[in-house]
Amino acid sequence: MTRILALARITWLNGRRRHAVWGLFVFALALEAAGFSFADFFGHDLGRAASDWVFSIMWMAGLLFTLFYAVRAVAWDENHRVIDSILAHPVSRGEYVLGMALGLWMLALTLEAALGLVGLGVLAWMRHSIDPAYFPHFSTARFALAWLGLQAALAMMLAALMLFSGLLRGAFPVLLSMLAWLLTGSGIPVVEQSLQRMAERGHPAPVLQGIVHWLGAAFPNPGRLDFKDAVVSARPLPDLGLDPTWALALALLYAAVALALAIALYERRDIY
Amino acid sequence: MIEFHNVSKTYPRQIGERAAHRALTDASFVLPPGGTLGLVGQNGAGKSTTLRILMGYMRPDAGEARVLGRDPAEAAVRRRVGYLPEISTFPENLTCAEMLRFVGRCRGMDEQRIARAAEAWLKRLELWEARNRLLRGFSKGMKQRASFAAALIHDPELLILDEPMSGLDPLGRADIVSLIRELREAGKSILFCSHLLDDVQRLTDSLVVLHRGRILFAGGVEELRHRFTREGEAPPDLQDAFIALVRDADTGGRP
Repeated sequence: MTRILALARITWLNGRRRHAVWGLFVFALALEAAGFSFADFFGHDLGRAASDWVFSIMWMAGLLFTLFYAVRAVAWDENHRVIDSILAHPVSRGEYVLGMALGLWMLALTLEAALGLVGLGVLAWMRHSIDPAYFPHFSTARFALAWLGLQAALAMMLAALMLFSGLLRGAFPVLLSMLAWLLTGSGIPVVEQSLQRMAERGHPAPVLQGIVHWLGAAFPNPGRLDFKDAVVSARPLPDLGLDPTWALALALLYAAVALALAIALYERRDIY
Repeated sequence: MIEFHNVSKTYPRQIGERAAHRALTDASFVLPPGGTLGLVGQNGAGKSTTLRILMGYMRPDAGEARVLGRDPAEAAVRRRVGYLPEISTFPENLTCAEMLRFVGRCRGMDEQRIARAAEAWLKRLELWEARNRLLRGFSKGMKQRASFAAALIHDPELLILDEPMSGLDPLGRADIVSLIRELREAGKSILFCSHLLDDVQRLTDSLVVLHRGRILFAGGVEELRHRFTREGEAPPDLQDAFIALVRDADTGGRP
């Protein structure tokens, strides 16, 4: 555990001092702050529009962090032989996978925590500065829940990234795999709906439906962890079609399984 | 300390290559406790592959490698080994002190012991003033000395040094030579890989010469020099003996 935490700490420190991460933070912060100007554009449902904006920026920042920083961070270690120094001191490969994933997640959490606090401030300020008719409901607890859902989606993505990094060599193949993983995960619900409609019209395809259903386990839909609709709604969560406990538990289980597979792959591979 | 028995390793064929590359063939050598062994060869001879197998980064296809009596792939073995890679490869946005703290924590040392050892080694290697600077601002020689401090901070039994003089100026090189001598006198076992045969001659008792993945010679430095001594002449230096050995292997002994 000491080695995992020590590695996570240097991954966090190293990332925190990178200009790319600061650039992403400043860019996302500027976009989030631009939410203040929403008051001039949206007459109705301002709360929903502003909340969607804040969470979309946080999701975009997490996505950019994963696809353009985290993907490179892992491949960099192998290409520049940083992994040699780490394993020599003497971190096991399993500890490397866990330490790296934890460090990257901590870095993403730092970024998201800052953006989350600013986003919360933006929404709170808006609510107090306009007529309550335009922004009737806002729940800080639900904001925290939506933020937690985003972090669970990020943890799942980073675990998948570690798995692909164990399977493939180099940043570009891992980036392509991550994009395919994300697109497949987001596309499966659409295919499921289409098959459901076909079945309702009397053309059931049970085998295909079964395959698509189980594919959803390998390619999860991050949209299931999107609870932002609840932030500005007074309706109970089940009425909004949200089941946070189950979705968060499945996301954590997915991350744990993906990391276990990544460790098994790393243990077996030669480091050239 | 190190046993390498009939080890072979082939790298898989890459896109654009016609065949897989055989990096090591049936290589055997032993480093006894307290001994100093030089591993020499041209570029592509198989030195890095040998070191990577000894560090557990890759597994041999055939044969067996043992370090301190155990499989080098076990992380527990590396706890007793100090490894100096050819190029300093720590994350560059860490300070030297943070890097040593990471190494010390990973080696199970407490904060006080890390602080004491880091201070001693950084002073010995003339990096104490630069301890809070980021590694990305270090010169090549400073990075090499920082890596030395990381390799030695836990007082290892066995040292595996890959090109330890790489990037050092003449004064730095002389300092590292004297440091390796001190370590040898302190009873450490040292495997030393270098292109600089003068240093190998000065620092090691025995030698393994690798050529195209095969071991051409394994024995004492003096034994190799005497093998190529002409009648009535003084033994050649190690560099000339090495060149003669490699040329003999390439030409099959024909002039």
